[in-house]
Amino acid sequence: MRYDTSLLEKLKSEFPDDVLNMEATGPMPHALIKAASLKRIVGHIRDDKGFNMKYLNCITAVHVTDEHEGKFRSLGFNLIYNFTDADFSRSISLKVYIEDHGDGSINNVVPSIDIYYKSANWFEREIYDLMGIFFHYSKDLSRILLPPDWVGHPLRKDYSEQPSYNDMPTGRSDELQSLRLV
Amino acid sequence: MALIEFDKKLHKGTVQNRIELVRISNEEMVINMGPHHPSTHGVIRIVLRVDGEFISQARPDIGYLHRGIEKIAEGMSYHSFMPYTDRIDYLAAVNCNIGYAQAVEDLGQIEVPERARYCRVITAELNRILSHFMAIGPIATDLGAYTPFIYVVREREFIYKMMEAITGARLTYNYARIGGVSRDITDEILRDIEKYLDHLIPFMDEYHRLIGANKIFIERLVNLGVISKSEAMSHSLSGPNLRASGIKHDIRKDDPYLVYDRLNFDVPVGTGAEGTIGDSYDRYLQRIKEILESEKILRQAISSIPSGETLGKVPKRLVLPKGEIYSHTEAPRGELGYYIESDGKSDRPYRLKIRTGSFSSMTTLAVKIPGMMIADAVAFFASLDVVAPEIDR
Amino acid sequence: MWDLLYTITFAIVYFFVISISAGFTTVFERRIAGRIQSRIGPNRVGPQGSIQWLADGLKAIQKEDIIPDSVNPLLFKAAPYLVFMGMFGALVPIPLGQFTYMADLNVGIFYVIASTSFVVIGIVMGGWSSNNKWSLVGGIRSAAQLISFEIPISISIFIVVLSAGSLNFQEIIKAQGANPWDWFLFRNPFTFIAFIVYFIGSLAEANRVPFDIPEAESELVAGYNTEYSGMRFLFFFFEEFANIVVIGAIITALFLGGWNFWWRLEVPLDLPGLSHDGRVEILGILWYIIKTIVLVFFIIQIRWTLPRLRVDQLMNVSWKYLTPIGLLSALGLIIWMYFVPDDSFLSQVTRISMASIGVIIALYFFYRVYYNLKYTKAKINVNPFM
Repeated sequence: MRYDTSLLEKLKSEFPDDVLNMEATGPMPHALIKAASLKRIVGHIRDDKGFNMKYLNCITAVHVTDEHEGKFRSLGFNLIYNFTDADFSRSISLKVYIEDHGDGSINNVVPSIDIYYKSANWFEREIYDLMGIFFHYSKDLSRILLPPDWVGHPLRKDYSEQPSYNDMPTGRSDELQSLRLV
Repeated sequence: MALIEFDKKLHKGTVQNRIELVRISNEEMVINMGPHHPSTHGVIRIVLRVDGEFISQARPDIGYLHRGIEKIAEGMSYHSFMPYTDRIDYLAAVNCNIGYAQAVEDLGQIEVPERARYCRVITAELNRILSHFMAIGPIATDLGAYTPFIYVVREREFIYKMMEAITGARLTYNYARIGGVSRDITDEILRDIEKYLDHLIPFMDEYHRLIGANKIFIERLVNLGVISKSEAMSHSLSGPNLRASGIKHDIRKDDPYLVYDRLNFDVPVGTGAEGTIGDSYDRYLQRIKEILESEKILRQAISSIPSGETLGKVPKRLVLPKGEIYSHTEAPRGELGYYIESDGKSDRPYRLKIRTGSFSSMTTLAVKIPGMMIADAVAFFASLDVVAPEIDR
Repeated sequence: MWDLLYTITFAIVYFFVISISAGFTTVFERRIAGRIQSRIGPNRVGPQGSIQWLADGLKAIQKEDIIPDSVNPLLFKAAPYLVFMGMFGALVPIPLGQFTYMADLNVGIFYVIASTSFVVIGIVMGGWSSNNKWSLVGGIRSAAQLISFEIPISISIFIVVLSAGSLNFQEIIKAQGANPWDWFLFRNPFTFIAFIVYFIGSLAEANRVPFDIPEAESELVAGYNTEYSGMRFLFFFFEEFANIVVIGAIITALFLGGWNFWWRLEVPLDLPGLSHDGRVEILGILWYIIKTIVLVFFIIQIRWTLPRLRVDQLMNVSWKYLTPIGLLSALGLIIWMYFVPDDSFLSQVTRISMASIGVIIALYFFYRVYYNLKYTKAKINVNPFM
């Protein structure tokens, strides 16, 4: 990916309040932005001639956790958006951090960008399915990879499997285990 | 009885119900294409609302092949994850291998020896030829011509022999290692590859004369599922699908990796031969052109491969520095991107995300299929060249 | 009473004859398909695999008769028999030799077309009663296709019947001669067009590629015969191949001169019902069978080369191309027949020139095959008896 750090500086200068931080070093230079201003910024970098980011490479979600005194703590989620411009010469990465208060208040914080990119809907559906992040104003947010009556979001670090799915046991059965065949 | 109850519980709120909740007119019928279907390439289900032959709404339903590879990666070391990357796209296994190896090497600043890079390029291009064969064969089969597919399978056997000599396997190669490749390519195999390439070009000509220049084939595919340039960008298409819509973008040229910047090849673009730019016939022709380009790359790589080691020195317990990277390569089905985040302490990835070309190609279905006939939908879907494991991972 | 028994025995013998010929055609097709696709077809069961059909039939009879729960049982069970019935009756008036026929109906060709139309009913019944949306789509497509291709076929037959002056098969064949330029194929340009229209139309009637959307394997799994298994499925399968044999036989009788041969070899044989007049003419029968096999080979080769047409393109072929062409050539034939009597010099010249054009086209076809074989660098093994 051809990252151009001057683009990050340009973004910071155009949105001084919304860009919280800029990581210009490292293999993936990115700009950390506020969740509420995601849609505005994405719309700007898609349409503005200075950015012209017409191609969405990927949307990724990471579950940020912490091992604090032997106790596992879920801190929040990082959403990483990778864009490339229309000539495929420069790329930019945006990062959004959502805090996890543990009571479901992570929902409805991140707006969906599927009005700008037609492929964003499926990326966001996959993130909702596997991580549980709800995208506000999405035109169709439903489980995509897992069956619609699945409980839980598997890619989270604190995910534990449901014991049975539609009356089928998901773990290994006791008989086989007692025979020590598994 | 229990089975019927099971079905009823499952169908509440599923894709089928979602379409049926909308008022269906009297002549429309909700029909299910897949998951068991000879022509959805893999297990993919598309729920169609049809009015006679014409489709009025389409909704793909994926996830039948979801194996949780990304979650598995969080529990495995970087080295031992390599065989899993084979199974992301089993028809282009080496490309997936080297994409993953490259992501890890870029994040960890690991040097790859020259000869290993050439070996990677040679096997990747051979695998690209294999994969494109498996793309153009099923297009003909879905249209009713069974013979070209058998010819393609016969040709793949020749390449299988060479790949087996190089890597030891016929389909899922597990060839790349972090820091190089697993085995060297001997001179004898290089001569065999050159001899095969002499045979490849006349075969492509014969194949194109058999089915590609056939009037019925052209009539079925021309002006079907036209994806314009802006639509292709918006749907994040990549690979041959993107180039067939007229956009000249190839990661091997725009963002070169391995030794592609030293090799001389063109990037063919869809020109709307026989129809509009970006129709299904263009996507078919695009893959034929790319096979010819791969042949050029292979000849150059074989003639200029240096001698040396094939595997650099990499510690057995590989800990990558804290950070994240998104690195992409050109797989035959599109852009294969690996996002790796490492926490600097353990020898396992903290998060591994795989971005495949087929996933974004599937987003075009719900937009393009309404309005087509069922037979057209099958042909359009075949021209997109998706494989189910790439979509579901 | 003896007459009835006699007829029934005769029907059973005829049933065996047509089964064996249809079964043998399946093996023929699989071998040809294999050789086209650079592989060998079935070659283990008999000499060169010739009794593979018997093995398939025995296997299918032993299978469990699976009838899905939600089908309409009467229609589901009756559908294969209807299509079988349609094909079964079609070979009755077709004469293999001058004295070898089942029944010399004087509405011969009309009876054949009427009998093959039963297939439509059977296919629609099979598709609808399967309680399966895909089978229904296949059945409806097939009904539309079959009835719309009846029209160009009937127009071609009308042309032939006009040229011959009778619907009777024997009369039609007697109106042709042994020489190629005496065949109806080369009689005048209008009958040539009638041949092409009939050939394409009959491919559509038989649900063969490029018109096989009702049983499009890659779209509808197997179309109207998805839910059938075992022997019921074999009846549908049998009907398709019997249809090919019937097409070959009809085209040979109508256009290619039938059993006319230059020399005659009569063998006195008094098989009641099979040899009328107490004799059997062997060379004519052999020549008829050879011509039929050549046509069957050609039909099979088309199947394994071409992709299939979409349903609306198929309807276009029938309604927009074949029917107008057929009607125009019928008009042309009428005008021709009015002005040019059959034994005039102009008619002779036309026949011989058309026959020579036909021979040149055939030679060009063989030349192209030779050229392709020479040009391609792949090692091709042309031995068909592997």
